[in-house]
Amino acid sequence: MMKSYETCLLITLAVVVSIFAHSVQVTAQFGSPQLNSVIKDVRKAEHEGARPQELKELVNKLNSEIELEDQLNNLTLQESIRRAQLLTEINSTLMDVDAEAIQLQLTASQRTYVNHMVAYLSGVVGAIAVTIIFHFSLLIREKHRIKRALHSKIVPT
Amino acid sequence: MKFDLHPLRILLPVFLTSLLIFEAAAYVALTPRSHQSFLQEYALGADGLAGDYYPNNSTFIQQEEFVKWYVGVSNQMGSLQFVDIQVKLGNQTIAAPNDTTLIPSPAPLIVEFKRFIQNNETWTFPFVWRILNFITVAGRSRIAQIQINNVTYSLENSPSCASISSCGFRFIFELWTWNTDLAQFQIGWWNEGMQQIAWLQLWFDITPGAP
Repeated sequence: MMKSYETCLLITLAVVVSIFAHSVQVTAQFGSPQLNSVIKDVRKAEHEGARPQELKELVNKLNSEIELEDQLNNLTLQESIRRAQLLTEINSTLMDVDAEAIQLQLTASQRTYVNHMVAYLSGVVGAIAVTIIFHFSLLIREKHRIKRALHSKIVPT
Repeated sequence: MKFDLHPLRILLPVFLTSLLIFEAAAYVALTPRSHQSFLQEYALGADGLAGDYYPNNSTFIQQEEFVKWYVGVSNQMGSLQFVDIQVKLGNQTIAAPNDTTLIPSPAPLIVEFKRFIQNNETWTFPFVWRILNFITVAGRSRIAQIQINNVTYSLENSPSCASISSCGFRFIFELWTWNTDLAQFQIGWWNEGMQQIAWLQLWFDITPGAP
């Protein structure tokens, strides 16, 4: 009875370990949903108006992630500890980049909104300034016209 | 009290006209200009110039002789790109990538170089290679081992020919990009609803004999 219980436990453990190992391998592959989602988020931040120098840091981290994936793919099956370390590092890099990309999206979006508002409001201010200048130039012209009229001599013909 | 409407009749059109001009200028300044999006792939010789691709200016490469090239990609797509240069080893008979049908070359893949490239950025990497070993089996010769950037690759199904010196080998550098909709690499890139591809090939022959 005890033996069958142990066998059952061993089989369950083997299944759990194989499922875990499979999920670990899937995460390691290029094209994992996490990587795709991170790329989408970085592109969204770029679309929202993030500056090249702001994106540079994220791009550097993504490139370091590729190097880690390359290292992972070159590992033998026996190097399980290193594999686990690399997977942790890859996942943490991706999470880090994703969090920064989302933050950058917000910052860039707000900055772009403010820039647009300032640009369009500058148009209104410019138009008001032009109108005031035009108005005063009209007044000065009128003043000169009156002045000229007052200074003019009436010559009888 | 009498309100004088005369200045208003003159100033309102002035205000509206200048407002229209200023807002139009702001719109033009804020709207990104549409430009042709593309990726450019190039290969340079050992000196980083478009020349001197082969040692002694000869396409005949001896076994274990080092050849150095630089391969690069320039991103003018208007957005961040995740690119993958797939290096394949072909010969005269294996088809190159098809520009019309957009089918990649069926030549065996040896190595891939992946990189994220920002818009308006260029990525160049050295490609240093040498033939380590070639074998002849059943009257067919083929490259068995090749070293690229200090990594040795054993080739199981490299293209074979009747004679190693008359084979006419070529490296094919295919440019693939990451497609976020498909969540995988695709050959070339999409631009305004059209897929475009870019690839390079550099030919070489093998001279039997020690360097």
